[in-house]
Amino acid sequence: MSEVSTSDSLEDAIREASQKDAVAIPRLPTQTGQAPSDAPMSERPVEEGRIKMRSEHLEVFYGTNRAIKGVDMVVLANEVTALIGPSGCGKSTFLRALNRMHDLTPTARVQGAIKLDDQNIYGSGVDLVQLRQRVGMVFQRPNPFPKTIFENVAYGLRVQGNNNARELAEIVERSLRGAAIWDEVKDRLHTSALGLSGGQQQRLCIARVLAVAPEVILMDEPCSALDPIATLKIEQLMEELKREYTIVIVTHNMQQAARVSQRTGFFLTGDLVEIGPTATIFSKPTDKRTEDYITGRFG
Amino acid sequence: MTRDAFHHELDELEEAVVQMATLVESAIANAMQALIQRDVTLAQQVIDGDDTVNEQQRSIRNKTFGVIARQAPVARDLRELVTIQLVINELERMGDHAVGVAKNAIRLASQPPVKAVVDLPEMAKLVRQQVRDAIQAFVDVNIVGAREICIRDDEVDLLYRQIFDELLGSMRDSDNVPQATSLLFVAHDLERVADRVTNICEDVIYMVTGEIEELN
Repeated sequence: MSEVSTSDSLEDAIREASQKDAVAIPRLPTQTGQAPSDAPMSERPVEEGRIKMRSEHLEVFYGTNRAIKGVDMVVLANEVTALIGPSGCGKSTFLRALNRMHDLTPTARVQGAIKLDDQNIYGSGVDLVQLRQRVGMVFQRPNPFPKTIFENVAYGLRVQGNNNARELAEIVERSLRGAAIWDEVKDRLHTSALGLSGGQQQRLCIARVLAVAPEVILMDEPCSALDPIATLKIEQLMEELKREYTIVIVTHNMQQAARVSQRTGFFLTGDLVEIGPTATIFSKPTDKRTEDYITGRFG
Repeated sequence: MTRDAFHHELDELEEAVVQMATLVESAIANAMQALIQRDVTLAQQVIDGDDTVNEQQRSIRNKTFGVIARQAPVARDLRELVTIQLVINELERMGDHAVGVAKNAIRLASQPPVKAVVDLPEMAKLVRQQVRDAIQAFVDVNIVGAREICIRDDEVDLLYRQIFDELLGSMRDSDNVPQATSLLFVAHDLERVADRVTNICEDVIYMVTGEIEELN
């Protein structure tokens, strides 16, 4: 997808983004001499009441490739969970499974379960539109629609059938404030979103997600196309957002994971090698593979 | 993405720590030799040489801060850099204890000799070996070695108590009091060096395991 998306439907934009990345995920040869993927995780117990999402022996296949090899993991409410690992490790694939993005990829197949508040999102009778409203996604490259700033944020609400002008104005303002961009755009709400800087566009996309009142926000390398200042703003925003929302972020920038997250999971060749409190992962990881990766001894 | 340049810098810092430790260990050896042979010139060399030790500590500390600032180290790299800072502080204080021994060597050289305290050179030998072994454990990331060194600290403590009692006994003759007091300070300096060896061993264990462990 080009930096400025030309698609004018949310569904198209999502499909484009999803398919591009599905193709882009390289496969690594299976590593030998490695712990079996279903080895029990050495994570200390977490309080059940804090679990927002949970994957249960999740497997994702692209054709015959097993990109995720049976991952059990929990995402805690009102925290930032960071997923790290080398390219092709499965972290983005895992993230995309959390709101069924893989449904849009014909060759992809998902086994196991992902529970959102104890409901299996892969169960029958799950409304995908409602699921993606509850679990929103922010992509690597900001992908505003070629519409005004206002209409970008109002889009999801209009799709839901809400055309009440006063209500829309209220939610748009609240969402833009929530995404820490209101002051920068309040005087130009009815100009094109494509005139914003990259960092502003990304915060606009976050506002667009906030407008439909999600519970979980997935972020797939949200800062990798941004400069350091814009990156800092998004990182500060995550700190704010986690009070109300649950955030899962995939990042290639390990220092970013260390800065923004409360828990970090390390993926390698489709396995979740280790997950734990971020301070522990970056000071005293349990698994040597984690240690070698974060200290730059391989990867 | 392997960080070869960074890990090369870490190796250089480790090498600088070894050099500093070698300097400190020979300062202890020379101070003891000056004491035994009543060699004031050698004692003065030890005292003057402490500036070099202090300079090495400053230099390693500055380099370590620079690496932390530039490389944002994590996990074992971070623990190693923190450990280096802790170890060089211990080495610097060991250097001060060597100066303490050297100053007493000068003081004793101008006084009539008292009965030789045979255990004192033996104690110094044990302590120097401990310093060497602790630094080796640091280089080898050897926690078994680090724990074993600390157990040997009991021998040093035992000798210290014997020397203490012996010198205290010799003070019954009031003519011996100035010399015995100086020798007590020497024994105390050596005992303090051994305690700092224990600290280094604890730092090595932290570096390897990430656990803060109290030895002895």
